[in-house]
Amino acid sequence: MLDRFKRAVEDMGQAAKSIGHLVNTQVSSGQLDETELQLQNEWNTALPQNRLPDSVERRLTDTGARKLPWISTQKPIELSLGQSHGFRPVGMVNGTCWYHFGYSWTDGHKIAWETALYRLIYEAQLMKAHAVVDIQFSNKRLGQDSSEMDYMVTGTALALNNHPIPKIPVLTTLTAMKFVRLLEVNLVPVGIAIGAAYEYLYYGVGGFMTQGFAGQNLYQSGGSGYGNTFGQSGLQGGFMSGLMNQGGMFGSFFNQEVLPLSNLANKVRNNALYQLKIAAGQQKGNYLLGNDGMFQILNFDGQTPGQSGVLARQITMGTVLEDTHKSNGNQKRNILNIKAVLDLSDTSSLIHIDV
Amino acid sequence: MTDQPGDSALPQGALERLKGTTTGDHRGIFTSDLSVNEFLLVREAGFEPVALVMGSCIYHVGIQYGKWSQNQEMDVLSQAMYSAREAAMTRMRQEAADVKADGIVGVRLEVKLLPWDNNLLEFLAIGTAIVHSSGSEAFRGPNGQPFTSDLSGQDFWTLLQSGHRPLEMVMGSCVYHIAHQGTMRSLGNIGKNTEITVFSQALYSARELAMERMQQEAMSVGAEGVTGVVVHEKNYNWDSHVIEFFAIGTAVVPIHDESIAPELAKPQVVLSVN
Repeated sequence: MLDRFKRAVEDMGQAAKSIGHLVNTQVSSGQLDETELQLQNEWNTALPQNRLPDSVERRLTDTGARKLPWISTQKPIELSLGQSHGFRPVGMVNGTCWYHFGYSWTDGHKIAWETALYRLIYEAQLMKAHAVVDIQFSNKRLGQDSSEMDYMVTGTALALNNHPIPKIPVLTTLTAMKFVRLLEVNLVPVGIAIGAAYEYLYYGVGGFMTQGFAGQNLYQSGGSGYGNTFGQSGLQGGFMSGLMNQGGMFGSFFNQEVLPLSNLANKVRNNALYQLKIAAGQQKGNYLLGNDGMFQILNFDGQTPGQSGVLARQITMGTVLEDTHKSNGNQKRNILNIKAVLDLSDTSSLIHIDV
Repeated sequence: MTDQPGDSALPQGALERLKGTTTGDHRGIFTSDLSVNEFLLVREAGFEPVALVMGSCIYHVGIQYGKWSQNQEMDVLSQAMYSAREAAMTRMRQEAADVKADGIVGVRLEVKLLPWDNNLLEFLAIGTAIVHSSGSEAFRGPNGQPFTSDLSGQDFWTLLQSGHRPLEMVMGSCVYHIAHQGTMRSLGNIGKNTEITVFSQALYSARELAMERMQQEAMSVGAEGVTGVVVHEKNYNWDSHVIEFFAIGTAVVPIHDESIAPELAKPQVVLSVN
């Protein structure tokens, strides 16, 4: 599709002005003015030096110092945390890194997420935040190019009134309400643990041969790393036909378990969970919540039978909690005083009509 | 109230209406798109809905020229997206002012593509105008105009409970062109793991402009902050390298006027039973 914009670029020149006049809009020349150009240069120097342009840093600092209005993704209920728990919203923070992964998909993801998180933490530090809640991860691609994409993390920074500012804020994907609810019972979400594992299973002459690696992932509030050792993505499709070629049990008329594949799946899943536990342990966590993840098993065809096979991979992640009661050697637990009520929210009863 | 089991929870007036012994009065009827629960909470907050109000604006987006290889704001597009939304909001607010409302809750701001012309966009703002039952005008927004907010009935009640009141829906918008990379530059990246700073920078600039604008708008209405901010990046039939970075939320201010401060409900930890 050659759209309006592209056409416009091609026709740039005189025609521009007359059409622009007809539709009664301002026609921009396509040139950047001095200040904009200067700002872009500042971005280009600032990003590699792990900082932001001065004007941006000033806006963030001013927002943190309450000279500018705060901006928060949170619903009004969060504002009541100010009254009940002394938290106030400071502002939205984000980190973005557009990354091209040439030699390694795995390392590319690792470095890009790390960079984006580092930048988010940097913004939170400028705002003098104690915590960043509601952190969301997102990707963006331009067109069909699969070798590069944008890695963006956004979140809402919170500050406690009248408390010393930590060097590095606590990071969590939880909303402010859940975050505070946990704090109430002496549980601190210290970070996010990620466990990942993958393994290749190659078709051998007489059956399956296996070979591959398993890896570990860690992303914690110290910013010291989100790692991942995910395999290269295999080729989809042709799974059954690939297996049929192996003869033996796949050609059989009997119902039977495909043991090599069961074993592969179990091994990869267990390995990922094990890595997850290690990652959580390194963050001195006592609990892991919201275990979430994905498992894939992909078939790929190589030049020779020895290079064809399947790839199984699992990535799993969860929120790491530290029980500060336990760390302080206190055995008595705070308990919630629960009451049954009628919920007036609309989420369960909303009628939604798609048009 | 009667002593018969099952009747005891219902007020006399409601019972009589159910039995058909009273007649309804159509003069006081209101329209709204509130749900039952929203309606209950808006009333609980001391307000009555008066009318469903809306404003619409169909806008022709002008021609925008930009350089293929340059990161830059598409100022014509930014301005179009902004003016059209503003027009729809203003018309909606005017409708609310006409019915002497104190504010509008549950505003939805929608942008629709019109199928027969790529350059035509429809902007629609729709919400429920409400009025304070005491007759007090202390809840009105800037310049005595009705306040606007995208808060649901529940959120509105909660906001008042937090000691804040809504002022105005504020937006930050920026339509941005992300530079295309030259072939030589792209070839240079083959086989390398590297950040593409020019793209990162484009997203940062767009975000920065949108956030700055939102803060500017919030400042101009005297807000303390902006709650419930939703950010989206969308492309409305533009070149694939053009995105709109759009943030919208409700600007709020602490309630200073004691006479309108709500009685605070004490929050409790609960387990939902429905």
